[in-house]
Amino acid sequence: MVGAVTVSGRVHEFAMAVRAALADLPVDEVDELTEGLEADLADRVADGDGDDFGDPVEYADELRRAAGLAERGAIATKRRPVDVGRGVRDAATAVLARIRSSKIGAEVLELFAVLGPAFWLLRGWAVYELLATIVSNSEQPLLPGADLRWIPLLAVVVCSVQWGRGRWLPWRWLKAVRVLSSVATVVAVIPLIGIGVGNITNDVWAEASSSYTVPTAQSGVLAGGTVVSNIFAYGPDGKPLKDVRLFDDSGDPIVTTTDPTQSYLDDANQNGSDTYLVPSQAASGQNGWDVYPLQQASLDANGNPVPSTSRDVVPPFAQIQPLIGASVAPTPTAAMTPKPSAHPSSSGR
Amino acid sequence: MDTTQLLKGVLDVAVLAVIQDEDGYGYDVVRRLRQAGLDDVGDASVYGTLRRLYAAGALSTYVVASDDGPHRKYYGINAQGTALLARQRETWNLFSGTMSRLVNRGSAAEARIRVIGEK
Repeated sequence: MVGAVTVSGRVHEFAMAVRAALADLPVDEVDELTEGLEADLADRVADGDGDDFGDPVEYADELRRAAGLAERGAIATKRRPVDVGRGVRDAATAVLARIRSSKIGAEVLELFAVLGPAFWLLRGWAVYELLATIVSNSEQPLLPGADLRWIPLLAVVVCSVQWGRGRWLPWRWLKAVRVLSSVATVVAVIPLIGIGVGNITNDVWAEASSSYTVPTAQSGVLAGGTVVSNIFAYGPDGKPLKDVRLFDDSGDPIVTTTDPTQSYLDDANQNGSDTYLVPSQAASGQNGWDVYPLQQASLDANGNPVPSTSRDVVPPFAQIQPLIGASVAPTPTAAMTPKPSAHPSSSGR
Repeated sequence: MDTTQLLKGVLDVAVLAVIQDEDGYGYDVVRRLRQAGLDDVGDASVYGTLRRLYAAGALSTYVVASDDGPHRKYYGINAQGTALLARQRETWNLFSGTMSRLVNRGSAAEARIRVIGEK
């Protein structure tokens, strides 16, 4: 019946207007006052009183006056926060209902519910990282090192877990803080992890760099990463050479010691023997350290080499492959003590 | 004299009396008050009064489901409400008696005193 539709439409319209006029009151209060309103208005119409209900605002005023509530305008200041909160909550409820109604949506929501505790832990960590970054004004590692910063981290994480369980919320505003921290977590978690990981790689790189010492250009010889103490040269005939002086491409003499002023050099390749390499007494440049092979000598009680004990160091090979077309001397020199070993491979060191 | 002004002061006791007679929902109470002779009573005033009396603890409520119509919230009187009604009835009787005597002194209407609820 068209008439009925119009009437119920008017009833609904009037009821909505009355509720709107009561919007400055708390939600529950308004509901209690108006939950039976439509039904009662319909009864009024059914009784033959017509559908002219008058001014909804006046009706609302009379209603709240009789109910002993504050007059319209008396609590105007509270209006906006209530509206916003209610609007957001209503919207959220509507969205949730729609998500739940689809199967996939329901599954996803359930997944989030199960992940809840994991999220509480993540939220605690993220809040700690953010606070630590702000307080110390520097980038934070993923986790505190072995120091007292574990204590505030654990405290924040425990707080987050308790909030997740709905505990430790004695004041209403803490609930807003909880929501804000969750939002901050979602926003900041990826950048925080990125910064934390970046700091790890930086640390690793720094440590690697510090352990790699670039040898100084002026002295010391490294071959394949190992320190060289003595150099043995061989001529084209494959026989060892003595009193050889070598120079690099800059014209600097090649010297195995890092300190030409010292009187002896620990032979790194003679394990545990008490022989020490000593510079040549016949040289004038580099204190004799540039003449190879270096001889060895014993030290006296003061740690100074005794010249009379100087003798040749046994070379690694008595003889190596002569080069093609080189003339070979028939006998070895008397000063050399040949090492009783097989011919070495030509690849040498 | 505008009865709506008079009514505002005594609507509590009127509503309590109607409810004590029989439990009722919002418009039902309005209907019964009007049938008793209070034509000018506004339904908004009645609903507000019902809400206030309930909040004060004088009334209890329960919902009655209905198959073809909306659910109705019924109000019923409880012990506290009965005591309140008795006190207010006494107050009213004293007050109305005093007022009647005052305004009817020497008038023809002195003999007839109307009491609310009497048909």
